[in-house]
Amino acid sequence: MRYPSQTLEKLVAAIASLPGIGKKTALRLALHLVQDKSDKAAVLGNALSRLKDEIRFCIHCHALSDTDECSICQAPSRKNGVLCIVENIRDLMAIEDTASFHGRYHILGGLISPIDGIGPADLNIETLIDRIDKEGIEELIMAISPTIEGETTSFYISKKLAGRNLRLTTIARGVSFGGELEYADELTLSRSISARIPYKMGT
Amino acid sequence: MILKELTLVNFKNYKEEKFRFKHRLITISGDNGMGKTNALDAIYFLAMGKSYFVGSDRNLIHTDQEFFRVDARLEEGDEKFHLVIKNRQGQGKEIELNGVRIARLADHIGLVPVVFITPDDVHTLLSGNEERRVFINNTLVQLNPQYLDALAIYNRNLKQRNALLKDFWDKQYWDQDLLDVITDAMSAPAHFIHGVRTSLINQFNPVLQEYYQHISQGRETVSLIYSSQLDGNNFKDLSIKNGQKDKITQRTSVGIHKDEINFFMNNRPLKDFASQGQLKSFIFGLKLSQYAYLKAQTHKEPILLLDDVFDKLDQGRVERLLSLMGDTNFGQIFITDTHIGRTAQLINGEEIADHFTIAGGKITN
Ligand SMILES: [Zn+2]
Repeated sequence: MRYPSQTLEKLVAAIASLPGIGKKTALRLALHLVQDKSDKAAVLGNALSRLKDEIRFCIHCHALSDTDECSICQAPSRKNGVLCIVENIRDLMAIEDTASFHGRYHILGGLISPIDGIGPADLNIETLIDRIDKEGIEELIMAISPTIEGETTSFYISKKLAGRNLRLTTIARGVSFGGELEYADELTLSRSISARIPYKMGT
Repeated sequence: MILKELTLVNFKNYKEEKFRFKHRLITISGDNGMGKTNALDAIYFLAMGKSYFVGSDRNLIHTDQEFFRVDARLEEGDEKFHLVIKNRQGQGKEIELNGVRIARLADHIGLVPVVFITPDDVHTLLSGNEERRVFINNTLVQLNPQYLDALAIYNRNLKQRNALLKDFWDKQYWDQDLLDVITDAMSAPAHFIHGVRTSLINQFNPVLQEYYQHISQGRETVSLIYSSQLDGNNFKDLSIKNGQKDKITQRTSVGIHKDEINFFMNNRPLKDFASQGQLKSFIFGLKLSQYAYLKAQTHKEPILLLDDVFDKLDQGRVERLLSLMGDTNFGQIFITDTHIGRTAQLINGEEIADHFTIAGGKITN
């Protein structure tokens, strides 16, 4: 596509670099911002430019925060001694939405998956162990997705915590892995049919 | 299970076509590359959620299209089923049974038991253990939903374990705890799979012997021999014992991914001692045993798909195969043939079979 304006082209490219947004949608959004009569573009621009400067990670739980300590870690109403371990901020927000958990959180920042090059050292496991010892944690709730990598991560953490006087629980969600629709490589050959030598059947 | 109606949309070389089946025997004729085999593969796909030939669903979509859809009406006794499997590029597969989404393949496979016999099978099944494990897997997943789960869990962990061993080597470190966690996760599925495979093969052998003798008219004894590192051993113990080997080779050397299934005739390796004719009788006997076994275990008549087999068999074997098929032990049978009318003639008579002729992904008769 040829753009009459480089500014527009840059904006479209920037929007289209976001996950789940194609060139067409990006152009529609960009044109919307150009034609908008209110200060939508300025508000958005301001929010975006502040994002990287002002947002940081909580030094305790690694949640996104405006200050060194996030609002949950600071809140005196939160129950001490109970930590809920989640994979990411989205899971934290989902559990917060249920309003049924009153302890604090610890965000791992992913799951152990050697295939993807993610090992224990890439996750916030060491800081978790530190917190458990320093904050006098008595109960850990593993709210980790019941996938194969989730199970590995949970078991690995529990192994690392062996010998401590801790109550370990998991949020029962039912094991749901295995046999997913896109997950049946074991039923077809790794070699493609085209690579096979045709078999000549004489008698 | 009886297939009454099959609609293919953008599936391989089919743009849009509807088949209606009235009889137990269905013949599909046409030249090579016209779509005979694709029609059989569509039926296989309905049953297994996977093509018999193509690993990735993406390659099942008709050229220049973005989705495909396989839509079927089936009957089992008084029960009627409407089964739809579709795949839209980038969105993945969807299975719907009577309008209800099925989330997991393991919950679908087994509804329509199926056996596919292709001319390639002789070559494929004789070529290696991986091929023979796939055959065993494809039998067991149709009988036991837990088998696919166990296999998926085992294989995913195996991949993770191999990646970890490689990472240890590349970055020169060792994390025994993590290795143990992954090894432990493989243990239960490994023993489960080993147990199910063992009992399958024990029950399979007498059936194989019977079918082999029927097709070949021979007196040889034939058998499958299953051998696994887990025979009489514990997976965890073996993994510990082989730890050093795994470390150096950066691969998991122990487990059911090393299982062997070997073919024997008169207690000697089939491949080394059998004639071409005996090999063919063995493989056809094996596939028919798969049929008989699935039927006995599921109490349903599987759909039998025969791709181009008459071209590759001598007259005697064809006749014996057909005499088997003519008897009431079989449910619905789909047969393809390049020779228009030959199969129809062989199974003598229009009244007992539906005949289709295919050209360019279209029914022409
Ligand atoms: Zn915090």
